Amino acid sequence: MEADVLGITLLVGTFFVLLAVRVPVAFALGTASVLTGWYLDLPLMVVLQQMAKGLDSFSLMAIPFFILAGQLMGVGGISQKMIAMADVLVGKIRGGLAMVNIMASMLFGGISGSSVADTSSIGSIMIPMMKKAGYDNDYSVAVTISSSVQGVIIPPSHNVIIYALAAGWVTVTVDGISKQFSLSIGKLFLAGVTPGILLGLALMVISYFLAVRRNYPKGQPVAFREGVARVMDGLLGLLTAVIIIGGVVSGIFTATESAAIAVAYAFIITAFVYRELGWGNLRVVLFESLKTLAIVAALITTSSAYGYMMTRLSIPQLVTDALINLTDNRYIVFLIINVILLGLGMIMDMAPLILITTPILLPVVANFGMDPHQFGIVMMLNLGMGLLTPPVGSTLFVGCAIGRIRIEDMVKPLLPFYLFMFITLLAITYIPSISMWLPNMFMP
Amino acid sequence: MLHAILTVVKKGFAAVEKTLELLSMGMLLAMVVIICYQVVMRFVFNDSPSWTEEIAILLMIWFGILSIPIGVKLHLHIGIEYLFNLFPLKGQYVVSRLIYLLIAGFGLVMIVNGLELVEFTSMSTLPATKLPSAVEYAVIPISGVLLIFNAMELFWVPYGTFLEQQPPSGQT
Repeated sequence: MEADVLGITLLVGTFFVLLAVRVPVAFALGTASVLTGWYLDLPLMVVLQQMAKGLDSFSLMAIPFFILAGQLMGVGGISQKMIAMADVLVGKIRGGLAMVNIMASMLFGGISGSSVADTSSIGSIMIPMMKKAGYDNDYSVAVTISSSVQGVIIPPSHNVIIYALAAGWVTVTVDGISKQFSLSIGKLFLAGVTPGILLGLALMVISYFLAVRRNYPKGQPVAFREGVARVMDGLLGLLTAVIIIGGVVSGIFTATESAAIAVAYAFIITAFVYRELGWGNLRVVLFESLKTLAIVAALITTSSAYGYMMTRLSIPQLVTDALINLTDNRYIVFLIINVILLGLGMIMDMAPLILITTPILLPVVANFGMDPHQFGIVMMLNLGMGLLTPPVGSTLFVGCAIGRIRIEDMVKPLLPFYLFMFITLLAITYIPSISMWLPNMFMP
Repeated sequence: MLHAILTVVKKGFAAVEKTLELLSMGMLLAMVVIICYQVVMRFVFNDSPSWTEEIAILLMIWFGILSIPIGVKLHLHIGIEYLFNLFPLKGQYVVSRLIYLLIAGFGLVMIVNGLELVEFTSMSTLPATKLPSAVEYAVIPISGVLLIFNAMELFWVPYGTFLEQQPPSGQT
């Protein structure tokens, strides 16, 4: 294959140069696409059409709905309810508050799907609570932010939908047969369940180990009746996740439809059962959702154009060929891909990386026999870890702000957590059945 | 005189922005309502309306493209600060002026080539609603105008104000 070196340099180089001088990611992608389109003698309206085409997807609409449902549940005090429920289940163990923190993140992940939202809502309650109970600050922050990564893996996660969208942008050639993937959102959701729980367990193990060594307190057992009441209250909130996942997996609803129903459900619960919603905070909910969505939507438009240019210049094919020429050992290729994603995750945020790297890396892993649904989960955990690493890690920043601790001082306490997350990552990468047994069982 | 005109223009744009922000929130709600309506029609009346998906996607496109200028206004679009923070303040000021110019330039492309796209697609129609396909793209030049305005408004921020807006320690 003949590579258009000048074109590729223009597309990739412009992007990185603009990024280095703090041009917002969305505009760095847009500008690089326009310049490359100009260089390739394409009418520039094609670039703009691709921007709009990026949004022209029915399943994409699930993203605003998930975010809305999450925001509505947030107003209803869902994070307190998840913490109260987790306390019933794991509070009695040594280092109980750390266990509660991790468990609450797992449950909350079923509602919000955002690691930053998880850290800011669970963390702002749990970190002060842990501080009061005698836990070290760095430990509390480390537990909070590392467990919040569960949010992007445990369904329903809107990042998974971004991945499915970007996966549809590229033509994948395996053994001479070209095809376009259209990934099943239901399978992606189910694929995330076990890895998400596994990550939670891994974090509980390391937290417990550290808690014993530092002699952190056990929690108080909860009385039976009180416990049942709390669990019921929490389950009422978790029903949003059940609606979404159940609807999609059973095939009764599309992801978008079930997300819309979940919004309606969240609205009813928050307004009439929890009685926390009024006109005032409904406006806040809409505005906060608008802010989150504006970032994602703008990124989708320009990265759709960027992805189109990458395909025009055959970049995905070239990368695949290069890696095939380098080695035919799939374990090494998967390791290389993990290292690349971890490295990029250190400097960039999750959504843009999903949108940019999926069209390049998906053809590679497909050629080495990894299921695209499994790769989605690998990518989620990988980029989720990137949210915890300096110099750019939005979850780390939020966690440090809540715990009032300097970012530099967090790196060392995080090392054991990084290690356990990395082990989980390797397990999910190399053992396909961890992700795939559930989707294979329910959606063959 | 010029100053008076500028104030009027600014006020006009501020009103337009506010309207668009409300419109975007409205579109968000409308999408939920339309899809819920679709589900109800399908399950209760066993009759899938053909227009719902198309209109909802149309709203999504408008919402998404409008979020580009809205994001500039609300400072939502994030860049990588790491290298940038190493520049001297004067340099940071100059570079961020250049960034706003670049964004305005992108807005210009959205206007000029967006209009071209609208014209190009004005003859074809969307399958279900028979609306002209151009309605999908009409939002592009509109967003371009807003983008230029928002970028230029930030471009004119004087150095003194820029210094005041800096976080005290430089750390995020």
